[in-house]
Amino acid sequence: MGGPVPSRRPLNPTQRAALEALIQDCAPRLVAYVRHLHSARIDAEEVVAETFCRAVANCQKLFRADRPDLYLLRIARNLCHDHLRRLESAGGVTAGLPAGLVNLTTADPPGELLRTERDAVLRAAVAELPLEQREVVILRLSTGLKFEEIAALLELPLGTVLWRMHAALKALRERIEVRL
Amino acid sequence: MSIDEHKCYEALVRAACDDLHFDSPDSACLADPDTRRELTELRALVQELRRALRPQPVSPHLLARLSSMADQARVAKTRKLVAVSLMLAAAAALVLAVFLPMQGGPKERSEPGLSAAEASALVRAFAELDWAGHIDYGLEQVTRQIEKVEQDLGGQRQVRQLFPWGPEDEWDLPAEDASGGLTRTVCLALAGSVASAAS
Repeated sequence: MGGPVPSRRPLNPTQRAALEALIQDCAPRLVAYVRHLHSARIDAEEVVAETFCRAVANCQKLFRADRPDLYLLRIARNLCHDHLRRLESAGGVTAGLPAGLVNLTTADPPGELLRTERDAVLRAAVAELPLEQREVVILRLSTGLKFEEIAALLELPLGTVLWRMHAALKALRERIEVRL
Repeated sequence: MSIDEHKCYEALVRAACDDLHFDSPDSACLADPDTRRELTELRALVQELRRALRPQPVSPHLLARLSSMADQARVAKTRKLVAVSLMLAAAAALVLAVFLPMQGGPKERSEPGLSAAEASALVRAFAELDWAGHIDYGLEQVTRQIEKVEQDLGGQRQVRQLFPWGPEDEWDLPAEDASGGLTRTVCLALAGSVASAAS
């Protein structure tokens, strides 16, 4: 006995396959979540890479989680908050529309609108929602979580989540009716 | 907003997002023609939003980065059974420690036994290991604890030789024998060491 010994071992084939499946399944949804929620203020792919880096550093927790996708989403969400806090302290967060989205009120970007005009209008309308409503919309309609799961993730009562979704849909309907 | 209205908007939102069927009990308020019309509009909007917000394939660059991380991923050699074993062993050692003073003063003994002082230090160290409150022990952590036991014993003994297991053991593997596995082995060995010190 004695002497330095490796305290960690490589993943076995089953664990490796499970991790690969998680990457395939969750990475696109995580990127969509960060991108739609924070747009160009945060590099979505960088956040997702960092998310997996942290999860992989503690694989046992990831594999033990009842819902690894929610576990990853929670990490990504915390990372976004950290990024935003750093940006705010550095004075890098500006009010208004996130960069990279079409500002339909002032701009006339024909190329963007021609490609996916209606989708762009919808995404821009979502981007204008207050953050707490936008997050519920994205988690339900992009990430595909159930309302109960969203409530658990955001640590909110279910009624609050449903109210935010209701308010968001109402606001989106009004904005889109005006624009299209 | 009345309770009925409150329940109705919740049902409306759920139904619009496909979380609620028309025939569920909560959907009674959706029978109203105006609400039905609103629901139809909201469903169309939700469908459009789903399409606009749908996740896109991630870039090959990101996929390559993530795959590389998966290649380098490691899992700690931990097992809850080990933690339970250590706690049981510490408890057994503590019980024996109570009886040590009743067995007479310190005695000098030859290997592989421990002196009473060494046994006490061992007991204290294991108690500390237990009371630290960890559930999962990584090997690094256990190795540090073993080294601490050695330090507590003044480095005079090859304490590790007295342990029935060590950091290089493959703790992730299930016990091969049916005699109670690691828990029993650890308890018996530690109790034996302490008891022999007391005799």
